[in-house]
Amino acid sequence: MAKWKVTSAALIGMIALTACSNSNNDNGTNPSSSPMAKETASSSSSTSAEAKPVTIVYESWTPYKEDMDKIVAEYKTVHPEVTVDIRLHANFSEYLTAVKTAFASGDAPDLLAFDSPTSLANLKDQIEPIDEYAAKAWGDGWKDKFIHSTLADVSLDGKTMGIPMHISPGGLIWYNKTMLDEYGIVEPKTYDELKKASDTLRQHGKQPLLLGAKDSWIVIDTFQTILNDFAPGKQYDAYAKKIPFTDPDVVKAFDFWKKMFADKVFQDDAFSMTEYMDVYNAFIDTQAGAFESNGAWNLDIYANADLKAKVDATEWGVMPFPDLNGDGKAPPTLSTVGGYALSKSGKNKEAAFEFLKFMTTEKGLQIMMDHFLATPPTKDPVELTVALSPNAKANRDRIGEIVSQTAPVHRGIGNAKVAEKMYEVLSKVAYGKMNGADAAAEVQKTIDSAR
Amino acid sequence: MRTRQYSAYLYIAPIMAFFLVFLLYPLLYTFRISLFEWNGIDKTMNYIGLANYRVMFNDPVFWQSMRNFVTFAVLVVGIQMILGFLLAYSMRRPLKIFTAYKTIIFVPVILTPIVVSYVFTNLLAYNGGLLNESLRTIGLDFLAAKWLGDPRIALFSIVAITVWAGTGFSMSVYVSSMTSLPNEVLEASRIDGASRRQTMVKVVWPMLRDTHFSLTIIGAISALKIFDIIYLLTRGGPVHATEMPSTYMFNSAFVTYEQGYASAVAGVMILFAMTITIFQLRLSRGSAN
Amino acid sequence: MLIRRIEWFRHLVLLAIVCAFCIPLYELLKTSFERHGIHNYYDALTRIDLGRNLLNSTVVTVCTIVLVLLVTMPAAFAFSKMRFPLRNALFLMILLALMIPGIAIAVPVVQIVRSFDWFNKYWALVFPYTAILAPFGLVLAKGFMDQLPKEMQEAGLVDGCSVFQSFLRIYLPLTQPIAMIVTIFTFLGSWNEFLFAMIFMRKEKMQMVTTIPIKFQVDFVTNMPGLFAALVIIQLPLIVLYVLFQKHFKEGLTAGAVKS
Repeated sequence: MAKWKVTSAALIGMIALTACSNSNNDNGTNPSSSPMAKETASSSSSTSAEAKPVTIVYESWTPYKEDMDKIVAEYKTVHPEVTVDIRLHANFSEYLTAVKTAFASGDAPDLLAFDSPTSLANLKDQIEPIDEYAAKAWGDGWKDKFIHSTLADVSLDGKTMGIPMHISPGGLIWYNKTMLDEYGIVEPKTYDELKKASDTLRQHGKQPLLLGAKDSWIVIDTFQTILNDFAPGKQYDAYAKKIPFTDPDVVKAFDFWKKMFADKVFQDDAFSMTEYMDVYNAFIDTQAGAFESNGAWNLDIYANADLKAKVDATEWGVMPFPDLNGDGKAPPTLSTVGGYALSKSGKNKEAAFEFLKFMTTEKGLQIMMDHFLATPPTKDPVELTVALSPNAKANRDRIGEIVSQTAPVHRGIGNAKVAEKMYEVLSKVAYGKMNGADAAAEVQKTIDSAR
Repeated sequence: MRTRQYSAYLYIAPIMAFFLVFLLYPLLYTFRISLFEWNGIDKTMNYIGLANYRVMFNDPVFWQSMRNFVTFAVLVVGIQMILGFLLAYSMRRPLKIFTAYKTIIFVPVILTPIVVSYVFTNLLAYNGGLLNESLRTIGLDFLAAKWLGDPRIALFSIVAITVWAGTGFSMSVYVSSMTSLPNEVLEASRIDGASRRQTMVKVVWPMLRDTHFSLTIIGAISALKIFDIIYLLTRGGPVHATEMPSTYMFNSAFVTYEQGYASAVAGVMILFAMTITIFQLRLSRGSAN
Repeated sequence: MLIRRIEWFRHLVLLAIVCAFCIPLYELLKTSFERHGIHNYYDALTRIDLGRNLLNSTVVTVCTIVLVLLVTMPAAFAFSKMRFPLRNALFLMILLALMIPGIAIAVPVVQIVRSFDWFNKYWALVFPYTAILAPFGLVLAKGFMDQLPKEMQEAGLVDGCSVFQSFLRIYLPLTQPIAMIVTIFTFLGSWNEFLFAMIFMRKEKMQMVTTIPIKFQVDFVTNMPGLFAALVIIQLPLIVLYVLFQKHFKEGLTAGAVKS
């Protein structure tokens, strides 16, 4: 018995070891033990990248893999000597895990991305500002190439930290027009109209306003919009410690948040659903709810091959948040901060910037816009090569209209701890465990202790 | 006869080697980082001594996570062990149908957290979920609850899901341990006039003491480390109702960018686990004598 | 008559429990057939490089299992049946390894892997996995060995065996049941591991089976049914292994009877 065990173990071990070493030789073209033949970080000379083969690593959670593959393939035709290694992650926190480990162990990618003031503020130590590279590539007036607000969003301390992502404001509400028409509901412009619509929908067994409250970002987006209606501009002053967050208008916003839950305007059990995919699926696929709090990026439903049938069969609409505090004005949308950046520890910054340029302002931008259907950050318009359905076009135009009517304001909270506290108190208020004044006070405490 | 056998060191040398290289160094690294303030990305860190620990012990959320953990661990480990034992014992005869049963009960152990969380999010959805809709169909509307959204019951839902996902493991360990017991013990329905149930409780259960011990150690420590399922199902909410030390740590590492603080939490978790284990070791040695 | 009624009742309860366990599994299978039916499975098999990923995962897992068994069994024997100074302290130290969360050791392990130049090679995973999973196996194996009487070793020594021979010839053969369990759980721990597989295996050709779901989340944002079909396929080898393991057990049961 023992012999059988030992010999079989040894046999398996031998087979496995030969398999291991055989496959090790499969890596790359040279089965050498030379540490130079590595793919993860390019080791070739960094001065001129034209003729020498170079590898660039782009790591991010966006755009979609199919788009990225197309971009890389196109780039290969222009720069055959450059190999672009793509590391895409399923979501932002997985991406963050990977790059944090990479930074700490000296294996940083050449290009990375950020999606919010929070991530930008924290990644800045590893990012190389692009001002010089941009000036070299486009001349000194390069900033005019871009819509100025997008540049402001990706800048810190006067330096441009990356090339902006496309413009896609948050703080909108999408709706299922087919369903609203069925129940005789018109696009609500005030909270009373929204509440009435909500009651009607519930009577017919439908959920009103879908909110993926398990995800903190959409809760903050939604509440920031509410805040902007009750206390225009005040939250930003409060984050900057110019005024206290316990301002009465802010407290009113918290009380209103509570009211919305008490009025059952949000769907049942909102906090057990994520925005992606629970609410997204509930809105598009099962169509359990009529409204969805989401941003302009929701336009990509028209590019979703999987749900195409459902999307085409329904008429969709998009609107700003209704007037919540009765002053006749709808709150502005939230302008998203996102950018693609150069890594400070990259060894091929020139080549990396060359690819970045291609990806974000040239053919790459074209490919991405065809999928995102959003507004590019460049002033030159990008003609979509995909055909838009009339409904898609109508909504795209509507978003443009909404954005031009009120200037979008800043989306997100720079300090991560304040953002976390905000989500925490909003949950407590929604569950009736806290009132508005205490919620504002808690957030103020965190603002005070933040640097 | 039983003198000190120094040759034992040769037997344990390989495993100690792995431990020292891959685990001791990272352990020390973690403790070192816990003394700094660092966002996990910057090239520089700020030395702040024990400040992270001080903040942690003053944070009510931290204590909530520990309370939740104790409730969770006691329930999960206890139920898994008892249920696993009962299942293994009831199916000790080599019937074909038992093989099928055991496989079914084991399959949840294999499933990745993504799958488990998605399946249960669907099953337990307030509207449209299989559980609530079935209850409503048979008229028990009042029992249809917000299984994952109600702070009062979310933790127990998580316990139930974890029991589902883990009982196959303890059952299988008991199955394997039972094969080393003498057959007469398992087959006997009457020993000295005792009933079958008494045989099971008074004879078989105590004979598996070492298995119980292994399972409680592994169970308690696995409960401390459990992360994916909780994060995917509730993110530690609602309102910290299912917050665990692991989600608490994740939050500080990836949401608030406080790597130093997260390392401090990891350090405390490890020390806590060590304390539990030492305690269990003492208990088992005590009862063995 | 009473005995038969108790038998029936027991079987009924067992069946009820099994059915309860089945419900989520049914939901899983149901989801994998949604929207496109069997096409989901066909898609999963063709769209991703399943074969290569399966091979990689298999190689890493088999290497890890072998290493874990080689490293764990002698140590379990020593901790259980031998006396030496610091025995309990050292055991506790190794248990420490069980308590360390994966993320906490990610960065140091990456540094170690880099210094050995193992990136994108199987060793990058096999060695860390062994380090992480061996203590687990040690606890199980030691517990099992604790249940085996010491008298056997003493009898062997009287017969003229050395300690090592008593280990090899007497105890090791008896550890078959627990060795199978350790194999299964090392298989599980290695096959389903995600964090290190994502960090170390960057090349597409070297990727593990656990990184496949990502491809579904990036490519088909909402394609849960497709994702589930892929996951069912990925978990099948484990289920097959477990069924085989059970069959093996039936032999183990009778062998145990013969021995005693």
